[in-house]
This record gives sequence, structure tokens and C-alpha cells, in this order.
Amino acid sequence: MSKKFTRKNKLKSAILKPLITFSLLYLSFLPSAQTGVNDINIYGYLSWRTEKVWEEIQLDGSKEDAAREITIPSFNLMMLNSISDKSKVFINLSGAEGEDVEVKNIWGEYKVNNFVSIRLGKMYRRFGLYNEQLDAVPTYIGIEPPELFDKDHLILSRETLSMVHGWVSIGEGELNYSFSMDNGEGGPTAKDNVPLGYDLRYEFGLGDYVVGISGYTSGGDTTSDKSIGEGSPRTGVLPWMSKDKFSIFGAFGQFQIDELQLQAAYWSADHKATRNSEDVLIMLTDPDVDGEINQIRQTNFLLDGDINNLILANINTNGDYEVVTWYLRAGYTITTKNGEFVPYVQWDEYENPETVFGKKNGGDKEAGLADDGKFRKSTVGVIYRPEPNIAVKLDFSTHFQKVRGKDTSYSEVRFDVSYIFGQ
Amino acid sequence: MINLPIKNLILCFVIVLQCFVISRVQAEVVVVVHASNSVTSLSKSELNRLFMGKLDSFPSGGKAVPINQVPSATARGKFDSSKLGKSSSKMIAYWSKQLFMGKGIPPKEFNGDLDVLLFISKNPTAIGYIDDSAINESIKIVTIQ
Repeated sequence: MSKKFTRKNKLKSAILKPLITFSLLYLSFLPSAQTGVNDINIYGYLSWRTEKVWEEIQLDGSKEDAAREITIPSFNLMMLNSISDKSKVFINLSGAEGEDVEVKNIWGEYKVNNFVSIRLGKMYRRFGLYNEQLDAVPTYIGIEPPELFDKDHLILSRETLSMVHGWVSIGEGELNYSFSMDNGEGGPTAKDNVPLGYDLRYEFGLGDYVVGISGYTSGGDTTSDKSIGEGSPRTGVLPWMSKDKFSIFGAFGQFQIDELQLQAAYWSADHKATRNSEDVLIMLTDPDVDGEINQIRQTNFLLDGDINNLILANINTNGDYEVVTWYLRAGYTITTKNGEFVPYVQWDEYENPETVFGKKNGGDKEAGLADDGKFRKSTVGVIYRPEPNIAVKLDFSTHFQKVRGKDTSYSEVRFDVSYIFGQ
Repeated sequence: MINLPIKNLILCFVIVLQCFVISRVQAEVVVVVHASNSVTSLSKSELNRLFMGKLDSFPSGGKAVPINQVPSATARGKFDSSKLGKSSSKMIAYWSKQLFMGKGIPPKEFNGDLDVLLFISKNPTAIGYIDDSAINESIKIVTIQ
């Protein structure tokens, strides 16, 4: 009874706090909006999904049909307020699966000129083609995010706390830049860390073509935001690392050729890390270790590779590793009198040789499943937009990976419906 | 059976009607600003940047407020494809993304040429587009190079 009461209160608090904040902010903007000085736009979207995974491979090589999953509808509620020609405020509340409401974005921006704008608050960092626009779910091809933004195995936290950005005209195109800075992943362990994110992209052909690079450096040793046993980190640092100095670099491109859109991106995250031997020992001595860590990879944590010699002195604390991921996407827009169809295909590859299978310790069930931490995913799907503000998507993916020395695969199908409101 | 004056009258009517139809078919969308605005020409990329929210001032330095027409307006489709080089659905999708990322607010939409004319005639900073048959002395055409 008391548990229920606590959960109910927690839920109320999770939903009410951001909504009250949103309402107060809205009301504070209202008087100036009525005078016509401000432009307030309130909008967002609702989304709903059902998915089914067939013959999902387990660490012992067995296969399991996962239960069909229907999600409770999620929503994003956003408010963009142009205070003046040079300043604006943006708020993005996200209610995942109708429960916890989280303030995803709350920032203010001052534009000095086209070359320099300063944004402060909580914001998505500019990083590749998708990080900033993942909450624009109904508007892009392939509602499923690229693997580097899968919340089970992020290579970098999505949010940052300050950003300087701008653009300069070069020829018929624009060169856009951004630099972002925050407190680092999970909190700095060195006093003088200067974590820095950057993004440089050139848009040309009236915006039809985009090529760019993005990167990040932790600027020193840092730690994870989660300890082992606390689930998936929301940063790029694994929970069993006592320190991790890392940098990420990637390149991306998007090309719109008439109705055909092509996208490609490649990322590499280089980690110079030290494992916490006590945490590793806890993971390896878990009675369910064979259900949590691929057996072949359990030996990677040990100096002599002997899984029966589980003592602190035998833990290999050298945690250097590299995450590599890339994707290709292609979508073709077919406009009919009954709406817009966008059939698309995508190919994702992701490799993380350090992660584990069990989510409870911050692993992921895709890269953590494979003997070598590598999986590939093919997807075919179609989006149908009967109206510009409604998107219905059906897609089918197959995962390929090596488990216990054998090439294996499993499939999943997803059906999504999204509705944009208030534009 | 039909006498000559009536024949001539019908012929004249047909010719006038044809001229009207041809003029409607050939009607172009023109970019317009307030008559007092010093802007006389813009490059295609400058126009594109103004209507995609990247620029908020004219190259000469004055503030620019782009205004749009509703997607169902005849001039909208013509403007998007001939002046911006994109379909209206792509422009709608572009502005959806901009909104969701907090990058900007799309230009205000008006119901048609008359509403655009009325707004621009009262707002020296506005820039919009209308069918060239709707031009009057309160506005002036901007050449797109």
C-alpha cells in the first residue's frame, strides 16, 4: 500500500513539476506576447509504438521470442519564445511512455550576429545529423535512431550546457560551426578538465547537401554517471571504469537528389581507460555472470585469462578500447494525392569490444551479445504521411552477430504512429 | 445565318478570353517588398536564406521579415519550387525540423495575395511574394538574380 502511495506520489511529482515549470514560464511570457512583442510557439508530438522481436539470441546460444510490446504513448511538448530579434528561449518536455516527464531542453540564446550566437542551459549538442533532431521523430526518414544514439549504448551524452555557434557564407553555401562545453561525462575527476564538443558542417545546394565533422574530447580523466548495478549510463563512459580519458571523431554527409535522400556517417570513440578491479570482480563473481557477460569476453577482464582465477590481483585494469560505428541510409519520397510515402533502407554497424550483455551493469544486449562486440543491423521500412503532421511507420530489422563462434541473426518488426500538434 | 457584326463580336470575345487565359497561365510569382524599401534585387541564395530563417536582415542591413502564403495558396507552390528550388512539402518538413530543434519559427502565413499586399503595404521590413497580376503601387518588385 505504502509502496503504491510512494510510486503514485513520485509519478505525480515527475509529471507535475515540469508541467508547473512550463506553465509558469508560459504565463511569464504571456503579457509580452499579448503586446505583440513576443512570438510564442507551443507545439509537440505524440507517438506510439508496438514491436516484436523473434528468436532473440541469448548468451548461451539459445533463442527466445520476446513478448510483443505495445508502448504507452509518449509525448514531447515544446515551447519556443522569441523574446526579441536577438534572443529566444526554448523548452522541451518529454513524457516517455506516458509516465516520467523530463525536461529535455531548457535554454536561452542570444544572437550577437550571424557569426556568433551564445546558448546557455540544457540543450542537445550539435553532433552529426541526428543528435539535435531526434525529438523531431515524425519528420525524418527512419524513426529508429542510428545506433550511436541508442540509449543502451550511447557513445556520448546527448546534452551539453553551453554552446557557441554561428555560420559564415562561403560561395553559395554556409559553413556552420559550434563549440560546446559542460561538466564532462559523469563529472570530472581531474580539476583542470576542459571537455569540449565541436561540429563543423558545410551546407550547399540551397541546403540539399550537407557534409561535416563532429567530435568531442573529455579533456582529461572522467567517470561514468552510473555505478555498476544502476543500469545504462547516459554518457559514453562505462560504469566499471575508475577513469576514462576519451575522444570521439566522426564525419557525416547528407545528399538530397530530387526525391532521393542519402545519409552516411562514421564515428570512432577512442578510450584510454582504467578498469576498477573491484567492480570488475563483482561482475565476474555474479552468480548469473554467464547471463550477463559473453563467456569469451569474460576472459578479457583477466590478466591470465583463467575464468577460475577470480582474485583482485588477476583483474586486468587496462581498459583501453575503441568504439566504431557507422551507418548508411537511403529514402525516396513518393508524393501521391493520398499523401507521401517514403520507403527507406538503412545499414548500421556498431562495435564495442568492452561492453557487456547485461543492462543492469550498463551493458547492452546488442554489442554485448557478440563474441567480438560487433553487430550489424539491416532495416527496410516505409513511412506514410497522409498529412504532413501524421507519420505512420512500419519497419523490419535483422541483427547479425557472432555468438559462441557461430554467425547468428534475429529479427524485429516495429510499427510507429506519430502526430505533430500545434505548429 | 449569323450576320457579320455578331460574328466579329464572338471572335473578339474569344480572342479576349484566350488572352486572359494565356495571361493567367503565364502569370508569375514575384517577390515584393514595401514601396519605400531600398532593396531592389536579391540573389537566389539570399532569398533562400531569408525564407529558411538563416538571415533576418537584407544585404543592405535593414531588418527583413519574410512572410509566406498558406500551403493551399496557388502562389505558394510556385514560389517554393521556382524561387526556393524546393517543393512545398519539403519546406514544411524543413520548418518542422527547425521548430523541433528550437532553431527558428517559420514565416507567418497569409491566405493569399490580397492579405500579403495588405501586410506589406503596412510593414516596410516585410518581404513576400504574390502573383504578378496582383501588383499595385504600395509595393515594389524585387529582382531575383
